Amino acid sequence: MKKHLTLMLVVVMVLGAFPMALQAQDTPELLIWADETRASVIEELGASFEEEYGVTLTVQQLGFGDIRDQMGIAAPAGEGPDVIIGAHDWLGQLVVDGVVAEIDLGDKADLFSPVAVQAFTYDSKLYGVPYAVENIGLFYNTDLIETPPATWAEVREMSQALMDSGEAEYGFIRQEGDPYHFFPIQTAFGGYVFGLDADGNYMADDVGIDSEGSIAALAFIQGMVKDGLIPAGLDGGAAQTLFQDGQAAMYITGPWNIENFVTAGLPFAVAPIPAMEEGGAAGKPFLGVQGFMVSAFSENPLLAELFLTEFVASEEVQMALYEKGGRAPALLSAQEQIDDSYLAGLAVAGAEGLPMPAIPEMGAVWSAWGDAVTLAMQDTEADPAELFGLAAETIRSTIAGE
Amino acid sequence: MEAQPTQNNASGLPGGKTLAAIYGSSWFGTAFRLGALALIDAFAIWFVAQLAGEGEWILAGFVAVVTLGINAAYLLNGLYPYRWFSPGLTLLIIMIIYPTVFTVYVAFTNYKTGNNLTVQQAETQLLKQLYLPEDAPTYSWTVFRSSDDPDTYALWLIPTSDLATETLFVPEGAQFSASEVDLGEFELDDDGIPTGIPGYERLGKADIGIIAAVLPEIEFGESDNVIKIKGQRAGIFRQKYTLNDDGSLYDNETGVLYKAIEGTYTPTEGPNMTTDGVVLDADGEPLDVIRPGYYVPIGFDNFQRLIENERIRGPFIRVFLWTVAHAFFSVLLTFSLGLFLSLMLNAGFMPGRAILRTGLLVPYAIPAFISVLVWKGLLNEHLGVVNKAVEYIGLEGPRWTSNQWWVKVGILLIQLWLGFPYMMLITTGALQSLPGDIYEAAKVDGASVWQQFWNLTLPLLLVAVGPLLIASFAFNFNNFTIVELFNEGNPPISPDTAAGHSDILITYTYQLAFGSGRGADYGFASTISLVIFLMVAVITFFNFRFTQSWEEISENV
Repeated sequence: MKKHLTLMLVVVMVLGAFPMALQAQDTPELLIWADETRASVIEELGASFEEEYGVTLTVQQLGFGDIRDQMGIAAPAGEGPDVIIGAHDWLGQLVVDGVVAEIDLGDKADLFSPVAVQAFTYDSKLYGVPYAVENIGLFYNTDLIETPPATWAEVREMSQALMDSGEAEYGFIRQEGDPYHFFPIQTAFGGYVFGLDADGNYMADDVGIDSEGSIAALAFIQGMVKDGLIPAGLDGGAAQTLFQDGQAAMYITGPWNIENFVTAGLPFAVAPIPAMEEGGAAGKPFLGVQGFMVSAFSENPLLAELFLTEFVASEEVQMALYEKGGRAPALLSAQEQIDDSYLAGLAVAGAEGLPMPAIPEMGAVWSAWGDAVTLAMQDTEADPAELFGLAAETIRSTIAGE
Repeated sequence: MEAQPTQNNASGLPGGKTLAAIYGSSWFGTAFRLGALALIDAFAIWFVAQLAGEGEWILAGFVAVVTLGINAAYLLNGLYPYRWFSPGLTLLIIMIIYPTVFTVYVAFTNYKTGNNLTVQQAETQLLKQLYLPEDAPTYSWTVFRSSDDPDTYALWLIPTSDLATETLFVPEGAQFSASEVDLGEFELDDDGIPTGIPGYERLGKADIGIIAAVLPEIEFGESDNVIKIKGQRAGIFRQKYTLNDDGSLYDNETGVLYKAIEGTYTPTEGPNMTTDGVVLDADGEPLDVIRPGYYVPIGFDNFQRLIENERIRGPFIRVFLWTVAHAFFSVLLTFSLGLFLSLMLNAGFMPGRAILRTGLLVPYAIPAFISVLVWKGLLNEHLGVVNKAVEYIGLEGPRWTSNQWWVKVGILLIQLWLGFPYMMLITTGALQSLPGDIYEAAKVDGASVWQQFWNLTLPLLLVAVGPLLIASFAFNFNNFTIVELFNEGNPPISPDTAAGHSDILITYTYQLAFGSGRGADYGFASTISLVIFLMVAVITFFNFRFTQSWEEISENV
């Protein structure tokens, strides 16, 4: 009997919960997907927005990269969030999949760094409110190097001198492959990945991986490996460790490593990527922009957009995101408040930077391009022109849809 | 009520009746069972209707079949035993059979980036799109609510573009210029917005939060000049596409007709066209397809691509050979070492056997994820302990991650570390169950220890552990974790292929589907999974035939 009563109680409670669940829907709710670092900022500062608009913000924490992959699956299934955090170069995939919605910043667009807004524009439509801009630069050990090199010939001479004198194990080092970190070297030598049209948009039918400058850059780095100036077989972690331990004097990396180096007590500074020759233009790194986007499957797109334009675009939130994430904010007024010599150095290095291309075919571009760089560094007898030629051909045929 | 428990006890277990009979005969049991069934059915009907509404026919069918099955099991006495199985069977169908059927289905579709929605979803998304006609002004908006009818709203619109100069007040169904509105005793605030209008109440942010979900749907102003809210702006936004009966879309802005070809909306007719049918935009450039598209069955196209595309097929054989070699050597090496150790530990002369045996199981207890990453560090070409040690004695360290042969040696080494404790476990068990008398007989016949091992121990052992070795082979055939974590399939073979020297089929599939093309291609990935499944099935089948021959030996012993 007791058991029966318990069961009945459970049934009554379950049935009783239904009207409660229905009532709870009266307060509008926004579901946000964010990574660990950003989630804590939204949770801390979100209360003011919740109060102002009478909404409930729910933050679900996902790995940064998982957000893109899960979005394509969860959003159409009706289980996705209203707002996601993400990088601008996901746009190609997210827009083509139809899972993010166009937004309108109105007059507020002028408050942001133009390149950040440009990066979140795909097919002339804006899809996100940016909160951080990042790029890579030449990090150098100030104990070993007084004036940073201005040309790649100087990089080579300095490396040779440091190694000969035994002051450091290596001068300039770089990890094997890794096209993202190779790109600024490539642009220093006049190479490119995609050509730009008059408006500064990428032209997918102009692939420059096998252009003269690109091949020259690859040949130069291969030469340094061949002469033992750059060690072969370094992965990203090993290269970082060598620089962090003071065994290498120069290394191309980004803001994510600043904290590691500072904690390790390394004396370092950040300089622009050297030019090919005296008087030439500095190497242009890729710019990566991170921001908030609205799901195309959101039940409440207007409120989600208000969250972006009222909350994310505020100085307070942009500063909080900067303090947690260590990337320069995208809002100009927040940028001006920052006094950090490393970020300032990176900002100079990225002044002429180019937004990372966002087309969905980038998967094929990274893969073929990276393989060519890796193979040139692994086998110093391989012909850079042939490797980049093969890579460019593969990329062209993937873009053509073959 | 009071009598019920006594009745239950009286006709209960002591009387020899089964538990089911108690519930079957008690009114409460029956009522509860039917009630629960009704709840399940109600939920299932709602679920199936939702799924069908979204075009998820396969899943809807599965849920319907499962629900019917549960009903049958609980209502038909003949199917009585299935009542206890039904939760397990339900999970089996939902979590094993449905994904398998879905994978087979997806293999025959073009489900990929750009075509990852259902027809309904793609149409809904595209029909939501609005456009602003040329020379239509935009405004910033403030919402007012009618005091008489709380469901009626009006907008105060201040122009934000040069195309309009006049501030407007637009309730639903009407439009006034601001000068016509009697502001009464209310004043304009700093932004030029009245703090209140007679008959209307200005809404604060909290109210907007509550009605934000419906606000973009409301049509303000006169019917031929409907003003809608889109984000921060309001204006005469018009619907961008119109859906025709044949599923094609007409672009109201440019006058181009888009036909859905294999789920992709492709321009087929428009005001600017070349003689050979290419539709051009206003600048004379060929028009692109519009996204998102939806997925449709495309027959054997994915299989055809696998066979015909040189870039994909080329490395396939190479990758296949390494996959087989990787699985074969993993099993051979781990089995050899495991058997050797268990023979040693089984032989009475080893002191401290119990401790040793426990210690040797440690690699098995640590998650492979962690072990592989530790090994990745140990085998680092520059900073790893292994190469530092090798260099210390004056030799050049092997290039574990950039040489195509060493990377394979490295993977097999990790496999050996991770796999030998398992083999030691299963062979220890099997060794202890071998009959002692045959060894007596062998000794009498004068067989050496070596002969005893090759002719008695090994064949008898293989009978017992053969199926486990095959399972281990099949598992390693698809051992994604080790290969992907150790070196991601690298070093690369050539820039024109996605395959690397250490890639096995499953990591190569992953590369093809997600890493090195146009976004994610689930259709093609499913196709390759099917092919791999068939390969593993064939290999396993022949392996079992092979072990049957071992069983014949055991019968003769």
